[in-house]
Amino acid sequence: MSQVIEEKPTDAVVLGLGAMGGDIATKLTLAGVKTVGIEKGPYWDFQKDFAPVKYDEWGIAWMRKFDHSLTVSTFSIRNNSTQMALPVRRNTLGQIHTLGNGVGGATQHYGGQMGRFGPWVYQMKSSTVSRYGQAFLDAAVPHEDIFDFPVTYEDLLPYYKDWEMAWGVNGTDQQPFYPDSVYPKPPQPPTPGGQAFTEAAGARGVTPQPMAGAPATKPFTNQYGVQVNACVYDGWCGEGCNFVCETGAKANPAFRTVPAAIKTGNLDMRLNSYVFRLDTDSSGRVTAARYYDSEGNVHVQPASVFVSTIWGFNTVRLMLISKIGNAYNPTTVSGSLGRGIAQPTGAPGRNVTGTLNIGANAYPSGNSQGGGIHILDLADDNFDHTGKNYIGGSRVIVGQYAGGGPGCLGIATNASPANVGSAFKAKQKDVFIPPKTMLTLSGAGNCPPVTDYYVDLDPHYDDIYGDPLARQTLDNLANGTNCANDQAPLYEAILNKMGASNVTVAQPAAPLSVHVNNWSHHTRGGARIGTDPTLSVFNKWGQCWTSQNLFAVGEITEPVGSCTETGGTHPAGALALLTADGIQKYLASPGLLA
Amino acid sequence: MYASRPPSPDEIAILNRELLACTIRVGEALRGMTELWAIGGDAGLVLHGVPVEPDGIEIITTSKGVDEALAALRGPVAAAPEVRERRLPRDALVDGAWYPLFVRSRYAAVPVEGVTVELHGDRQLRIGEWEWGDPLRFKPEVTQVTTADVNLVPLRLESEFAFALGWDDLARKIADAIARQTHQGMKTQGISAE
Repeated sequence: MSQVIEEKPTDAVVLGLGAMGGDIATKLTLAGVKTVGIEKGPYWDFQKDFAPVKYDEWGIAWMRKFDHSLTVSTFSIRNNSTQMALPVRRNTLGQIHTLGNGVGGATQHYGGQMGRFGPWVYQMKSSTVSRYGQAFLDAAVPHEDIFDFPVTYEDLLPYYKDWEMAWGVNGTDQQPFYPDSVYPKPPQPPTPGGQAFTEAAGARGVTPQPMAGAPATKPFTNQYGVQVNACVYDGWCGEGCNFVCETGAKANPAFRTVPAAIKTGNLDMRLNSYVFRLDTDSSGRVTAARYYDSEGNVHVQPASVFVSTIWGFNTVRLMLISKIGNAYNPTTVSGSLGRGIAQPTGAPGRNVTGTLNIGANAYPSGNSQGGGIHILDLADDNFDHTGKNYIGGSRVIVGQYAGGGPGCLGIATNASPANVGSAFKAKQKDVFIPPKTMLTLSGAGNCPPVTDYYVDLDPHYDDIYGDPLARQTLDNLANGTNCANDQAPLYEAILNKMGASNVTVAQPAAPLSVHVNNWSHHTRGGARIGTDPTLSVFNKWGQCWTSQNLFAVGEITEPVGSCTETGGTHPAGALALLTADGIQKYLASPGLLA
Repeated sequence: MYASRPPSPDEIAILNRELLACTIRVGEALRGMTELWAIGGDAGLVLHGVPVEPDGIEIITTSKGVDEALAALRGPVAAAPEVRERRLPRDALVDGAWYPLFVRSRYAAVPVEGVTVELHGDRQLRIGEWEWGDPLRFKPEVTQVTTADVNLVPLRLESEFAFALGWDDLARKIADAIARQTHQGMKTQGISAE
């Protein structure tokens, strides 16, 4: 029979020991803060758990055996507030709704793409209005709900560097749009496609650069003293968000930072534990976190400070269920919690395709989508938008490793339960080592937050414990499509310069001809940091305006996003370290931080 | 749910702050050395991912390398260079019999960032009354400690020593570390990496 167990008070409780929570727990424990980490999954070991079973395309890439179970909890989705949202209860082919599960969270399976936000992203609103005027912004993004980060790129630079050192980020040191972007590890070797793109794009006057990535391109020991193995380029960890790493080379806090926290003796991990409520007192202060353990017991864990790093909508959902914060009302456009969700990029794009005689673009021994070359000349405000009908831009990437084994998503387009096995694998040979390469360049511009899109509690659907699901109301924006349509001619010129044959430019895409039909791992907003408590939920430290001992960090706290990185781990990682500083300041002197 | 447990503190390969600072300083100072040098001993093992608890830094070099390293490290010398011979605290187990184990080297010591760095030039080992082994020579492996490149005694060489000396507990830890760096999954499933 399940029981209610009152736990002893501690200094700090970290909800979720994923990419952000693992790092924050490490910072706190190294500073002597007694910390309880509540994590809904187990502690996976890359050798004991991943290495013996990772060559299982079906189980890992399709059945998501290392990931969060959608039967426990999920989200419901719709495109606008007039629709009935439906819950996503399983992963279907081509639509992966993957949340992390276990210490390290989604970094177990992520593609490992890295990249900072550029300076413009942090001041998107003020910079755009100052350069082009509010009318331009209103025309490009009707109902825009954009505001600046409460910190600048320069403010975050030391946090970026600290985080990159700990994780061993690899990439370029010559990125012209990101000041002082010397990453600690050299980039992964480029593919033939990447090399050809470098030459062609460079000749077009733009600045191709190696993409930043998460795999350790050389063995290292980080500033916490944690030893990290180098990537062995086995080609089984990348391709979208699929495969785990068997040597710990793909950056994951479980193998980068959390070991240092364990070594301090200050970290108490409560694994396989599902947080469902935050208790508050009459002043709004959070007094305890409630969670179910794997046997169904309810634990009540008091602490001086709490930080939620659980995935985006779940933080919003937990706060709404716990009646913390001011819920967003889309009718009156008031309230802040659940407000301002946005995708990093928005479909539909406009494809430009061509055939190259270089072969092996789908480099079979690649990893983590590394080895790619990208250009940021057409991203952010890195070019003049005068006369354009969009803000931001897109980045073009060529030559990433395919990775992921024969069953990886991008290659195994013919995968289905009916044709797995030797016949299926035989078909993949020509895809893996093609005599020629079909290259598709497709821009997909920014989708900034607008007042129409938000997350709230679903009135119809519950999780396995009976609490309401979070409901996403989100669709694409014309801004992204307008960008893709405008930039396609440049991609065409680059393909021609690469010597491609049969270069074809698709017809301009129509905005909203494709709708959002999933949730992105990298949806931004919903619980944003800012300077205005009526618009934002947290201040720059990630401290809740209404419950001052509650902090949060993740992509949900970012006011806006950018296409300059496909994932959002890297910029959120810098914010996580800022939040860790904020928590320590709060513990030293409780109150609203300046 | 299947999953392994979190590692216990003694299963984690980690350098403490003092040793970390010392290692970085050593890496930066010795980067330009012309003679062979590499960190060995327990600190070297930790930098390879072997969970042991080092209390200092040992540098394996040549006889000339001792002087070159001392010049590069530029600090007050705790022990001036001289040929030293001593018995190690742990004996060797060979063919079922225990033998005392001796080490001889051109030895010097220097404090770096509060940590004693021991330099061993032309280090040799002797088991019991057998002949001295050859001075240690190898091609170092390189790791990066934060920003500093650091040479290490190759892990497979450390493994050979551990096996040869009958230090099975250490040999097992080294074998685990090697397994964690490589394609063990492919091997356990009978898949060839080639």
